Amino acid sequence: MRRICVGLYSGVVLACQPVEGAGPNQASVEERSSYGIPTPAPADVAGECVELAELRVCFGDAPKLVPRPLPESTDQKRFRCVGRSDARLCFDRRTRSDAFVCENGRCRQRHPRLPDNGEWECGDIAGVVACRGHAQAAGTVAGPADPGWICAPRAQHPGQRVCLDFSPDLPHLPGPWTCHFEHAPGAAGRVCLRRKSAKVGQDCQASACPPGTRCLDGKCLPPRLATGCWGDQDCEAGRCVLTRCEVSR
Amino acid sequence: MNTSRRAWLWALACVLGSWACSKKTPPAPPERTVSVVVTTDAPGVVRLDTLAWTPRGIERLVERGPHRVELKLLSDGVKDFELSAEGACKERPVLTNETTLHIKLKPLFTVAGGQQLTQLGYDTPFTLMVDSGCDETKQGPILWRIEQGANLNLNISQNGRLVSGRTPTLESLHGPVGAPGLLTASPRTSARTVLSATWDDGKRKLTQVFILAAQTRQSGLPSLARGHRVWLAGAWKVAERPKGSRAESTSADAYSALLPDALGRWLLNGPNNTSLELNVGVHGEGLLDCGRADCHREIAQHALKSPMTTVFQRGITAKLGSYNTACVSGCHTTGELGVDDGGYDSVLGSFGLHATLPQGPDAFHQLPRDLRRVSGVTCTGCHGPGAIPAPTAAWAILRSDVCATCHDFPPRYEHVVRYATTRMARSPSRPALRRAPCNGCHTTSGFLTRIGASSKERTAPDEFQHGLSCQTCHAAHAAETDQHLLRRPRLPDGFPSVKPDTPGLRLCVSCHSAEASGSGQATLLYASTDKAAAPHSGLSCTDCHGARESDPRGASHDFVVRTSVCLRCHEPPAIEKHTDKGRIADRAAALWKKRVRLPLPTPQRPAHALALSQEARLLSLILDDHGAAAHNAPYARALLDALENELPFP
Repeated sequence: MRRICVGLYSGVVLACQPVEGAGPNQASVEERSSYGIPTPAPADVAGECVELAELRVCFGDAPKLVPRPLPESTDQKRFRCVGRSDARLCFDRRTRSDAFVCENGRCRQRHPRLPDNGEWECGDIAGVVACRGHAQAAGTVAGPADPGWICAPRAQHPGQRVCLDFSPDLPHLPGPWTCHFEHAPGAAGRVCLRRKSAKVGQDCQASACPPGTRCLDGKCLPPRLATGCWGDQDCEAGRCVLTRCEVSR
Repeated sequence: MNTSRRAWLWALACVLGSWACSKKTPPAPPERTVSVVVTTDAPGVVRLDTLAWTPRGIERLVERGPHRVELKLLSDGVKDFELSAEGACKERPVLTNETTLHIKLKPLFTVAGGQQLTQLGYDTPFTLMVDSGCDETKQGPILWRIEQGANLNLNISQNGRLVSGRTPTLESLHGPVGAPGLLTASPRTSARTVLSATWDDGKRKLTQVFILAAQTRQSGLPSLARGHRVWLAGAWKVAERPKGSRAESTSADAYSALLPDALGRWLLNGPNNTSLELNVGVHGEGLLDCGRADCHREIAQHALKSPMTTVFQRGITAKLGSYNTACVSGCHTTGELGVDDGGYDSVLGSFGLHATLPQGPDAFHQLPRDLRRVSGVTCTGCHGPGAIPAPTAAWAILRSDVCATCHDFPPRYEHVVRYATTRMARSPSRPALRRAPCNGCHTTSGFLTRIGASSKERTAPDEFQHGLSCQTCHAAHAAETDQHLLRRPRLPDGFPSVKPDTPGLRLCVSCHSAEASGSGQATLLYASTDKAAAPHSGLSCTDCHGARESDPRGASHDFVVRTSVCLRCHEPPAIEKHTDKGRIADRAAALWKKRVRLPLPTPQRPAHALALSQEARLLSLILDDHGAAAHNAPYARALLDALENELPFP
């Protein structure tokens, strides 16, 4: 707590009084305001680290679960964090996507989170959002990419990209949720239904791990952090699983 | 007595007393941490970034954002505290045993019905009722002011808590209803009015902006947004509608209105067995992939450079000075205010954001993706969100009414009303002028085709011939434009390259020069002899015909030369002497009668439209140009001298 101290002569503090709200502490917090809140993850290990629902996984030689620190808050599901170690930032989800509107166990997000300003076609795969980007948005000023997406050029399709979001937005009500994108003109958005389904990051014992994941560290995790296909036709050999080409054995 | 006061008294006792401060301190009450979550339903009006609190006891701010602030409160005996923020009523929450306290800050006042009432209808009464958010705002007046737009004969009562008025009639704004079809509406002709309401008690102040209009803006394009009521001249009935729609048109004496409630194709039947196809969509949700390689790639690239595309981004990042996003939305963004059309205002509402957004270098980047996509004047902002129009309706994008949806809002934006006073605005008054070769300068489509700006003619039906439109000179997304999006056509062959890079010069010369087979004002302006240099050779047309920077904006669009422009260089008595106006015209007319033996040219029958001898063509430079003497008196005199004395032409 910041205090103002009163002294009559050097070296002798007679009394200290806490001061009210405004002050240097407040200003320093203001700087981080609606932007990313620095939230270091000191236990990160080598490799790219991503948030996966309520887990944090670092993809070095093999996936490894690490602690997932969050900013202090009454509602920790609100945060979406990116970066690793000391450079990790957490963002308030509401600043970049709108709230779900729920009715009878069906929740709809009218403006779902997408990788950037461009044109994207997206779907939910086992709790992960996968998107295929095929064009820049015409006649608009480009903005920054949404933090937290894992993106790569799409195989066999120059100019296109594939992106994954391992930590998509979910309704604020208790789940479990299974979500999908709807594209009907005038009613487009992401819809979540209160329904259980296999998810990337779930406990291995819960049910069979979804395609493209293996039981690692007790959780269903992708063996490596990769993306780049959008259907089997993109893979020279094998199949496209979780937007990653896998050679059939 | 609270803890802080006790501490101070204790400190005072330490100073005054003779005993050491190391004696016992008063026992501290048990400490308890309470999370205080502060939110508001009115972000933008209530500025959570200015949150302040009293008294002591707030340990630290955990997080701050546009929607929510969380405080940690060490409740060491504190029973209540006070929170305040700009635009908000003060809150004095009482602490209970709960570990989390949710507080929603209310705005100082709200107005029932929202802040954008843009489809009030014509000749319709309206009422705005102020709801005081808290006891402190129940006192003192709320002051209303018309910031811009029509005078709606406001009746303000109950100390500013009740405002009523009536929108004007359609006829009073549009004049007589014209040919059957889509009506158009600009901010001026929809009686759009920007009102501000201010409560100020000397300590706290809140100003809110309200936008009212009889109807939303309407460009005349048949590509529309859902929820956007359209008005039509004549009686129209819905013949076909998209599945799920129940909307019907309503008709008054001379016009109809339709509120499309579903996306897709609509077919209306109108007077004299005419029909009209409308395509209805929503902004933002549709693909913005117009720039695909096989479609409009170059146009999309050029559009990125357009100031209309970037205006909102420049404004919110503080590059345009004072910028109130509540005032500019609608014209600096895509879609209509107060309509759930997928446009800026609609998306803003989805995110729970207020029209007044904070500014700063990073402010645009902080906007959600879907809001960025409808910020600025995007493709659908002008072309509509419905669909690519049928070939028979492709001409509509060349209407000045498209530009008028923003640039017709006097007294600040006078482009349209000033331009309407010119002869160019009424140019193709006769059918003959709509045909080649005259249409190359007398119709917008003909001109654009002639200069290579359009690959196909988009000729409007006769009943919608409204002269040369804004698009004749301005290009929203051309490869190469001058300042103010002015087109840069190639200079005619043989025309001297006089200041070719002056904005607008190439455009004027494209029609107003003998080299372009038009009237020869520019030819005369820059002509010179061995003995007489062209006096205005260093100037371009618009140096005199309209100051380039003007206030109100667009005031130059009447292209009138004001005496003050001449006085920049000439002494008042010298002007007449220099120009020798009457004498030059008289001499030319006399020569025409004597040599050409045709009726004197008139504006309706100009000389440049005739097949003439060289001598007559030279005379036409003077006779077709009312400003000939002012443009280049020395050359005109030399020309007349040569013709009168049968000397070689200068």
